[in-house]
Amino acid sequence: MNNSYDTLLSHLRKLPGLGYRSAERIAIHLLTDKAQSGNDLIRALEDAQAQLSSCEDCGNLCEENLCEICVNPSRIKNSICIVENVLDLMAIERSGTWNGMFHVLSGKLSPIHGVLPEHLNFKSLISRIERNSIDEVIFALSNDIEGNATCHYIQDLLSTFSKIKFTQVGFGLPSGGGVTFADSSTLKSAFDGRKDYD
Amino acid sequence: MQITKARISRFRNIDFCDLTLSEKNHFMLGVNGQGKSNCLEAIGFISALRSFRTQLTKPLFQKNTNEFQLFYEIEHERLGITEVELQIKEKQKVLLIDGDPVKRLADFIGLFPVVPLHSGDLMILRGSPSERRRFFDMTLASVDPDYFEALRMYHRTIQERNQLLKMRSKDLAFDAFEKELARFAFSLVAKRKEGIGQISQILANVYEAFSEDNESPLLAYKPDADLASIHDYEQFFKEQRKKDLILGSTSRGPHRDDYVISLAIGGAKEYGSDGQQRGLSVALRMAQASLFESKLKIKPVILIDDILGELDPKRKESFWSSCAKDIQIIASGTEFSVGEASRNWQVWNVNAGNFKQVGASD
Ligand SMILES: [Zn+2]
Repeated sequence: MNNSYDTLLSHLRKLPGLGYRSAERIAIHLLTDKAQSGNDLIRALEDAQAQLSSCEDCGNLCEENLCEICVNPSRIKNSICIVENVLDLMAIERSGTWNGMFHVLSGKLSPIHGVLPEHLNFKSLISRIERNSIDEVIFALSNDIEGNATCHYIQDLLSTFSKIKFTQVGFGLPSGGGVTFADSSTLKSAFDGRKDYD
Repeated sequence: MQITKARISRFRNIDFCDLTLSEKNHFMLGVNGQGKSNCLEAIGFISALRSFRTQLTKPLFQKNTNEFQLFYEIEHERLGITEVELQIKEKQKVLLIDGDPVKRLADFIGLFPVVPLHSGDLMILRGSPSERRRFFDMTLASVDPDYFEALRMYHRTIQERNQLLKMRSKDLAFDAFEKELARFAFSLVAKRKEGIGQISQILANVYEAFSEDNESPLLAYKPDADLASIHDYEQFFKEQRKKDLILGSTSRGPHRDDYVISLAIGGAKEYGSDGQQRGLSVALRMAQASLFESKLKIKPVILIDDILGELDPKRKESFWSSCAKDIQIIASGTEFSVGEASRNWQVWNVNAGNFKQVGASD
């Protein structure tokens, strides 16, 4: 087929979770059957990109400088739950098990995938902790080598803040898949069963 | 377990063969280069989805193909009558047990134990430490899923640390990964100590059946770093960091461990006579088989790839008498000299990748 179709297809295939067949179905759907929905999608995407950015404090998606969680006065301010990405944050929010703050790292340390400390959201974490009185840091990262190494790293990074208690959510969570794929009741018991971290 | 059927498709010089192996003992007979060893190699694939003869995949494919298929019907202690199907491509291995795909090697390793006795086993004694590590890793991983997991995690963490070394990362990042590395190193060394202790006892018993004089084999584990705690390993890796940064890789740790296999007269690697070394390598395999049977509660299938001719008659005789009768044996050779009246053999003529049953001998 022609060049612009192939370009579209190759971009769709780069989206997470889409194989060749699904990418093809979506491309044909947008181009032929429902041409208007293609235009709507482009507009919605442009709007979202223009309106949304990362929360300056926690890294969550938001429309202002700070996200809804960070400005919500009824949330417990002195506990921060560390997550790898916004999807994990959303999964925990949906489960309604956590009423404290979040911090989104945007990944986990993994040198073999090129992810080093400078690529993660550590600077804003330190400045948050310097500005606020934080008593507890809860790790809700993947239960694998990279997730654990990231926990060790943060613990060392914050070792000068002597009053912080470090805990880790109880891991009945599916390993590797992490927080995003856990259902609400699993997440609830993971938070209830959180343990002191070494 | 017993392999009751094996179908091999497009594997080395075997285009296709369909073997009905309802008897316990089978002997693949033929001149060299006809496909006897290839057949045993294909059958051995079931234990860990790899060849016992080579670490390369390419030589296993036929010309102009990049795929081969293996099928087995097995009478299994735990699973009953089971069908196992393997599709091996250059970068992909698909395994189906009774039609269900198995996703993780961890769910499968140790389930279908096969013990191959072949000439390459001498390398366990004569070769580099990596040969011995591979043999004992394979043995211990088959009987202990936790060992398999610790080994996998250790190697992955080594890769992460090596990458940190190459990127000359900051100390805090090294600390983070070395904490993980220390955990796996400690548990790996502890498990190796325990496992080698058990294997060395079994080996002593097995070897006794092979030797007339007072030689007694000794198997010892030589960890590169034998430390008392996880914390000590953490310190150890930290101390290596400066040197490792220059080398660009992790120079020391359990991935540098070695094992000493010796006879009472001295280290077998240096001193054992040729016959003693052959006897000892056979004994190592039989010890592996015995460990599999006792730990997994599954009788392994034993493959003997044309090596008994190299044992002297005395050792050969004692080999057969030490072999349990209810264990399936698939052997190969250029002549049918196995000759053990105590066993009934199904003999197969092997010619240019074709296998023909020639009637039971007794
Ligand atoms: Zn926020």
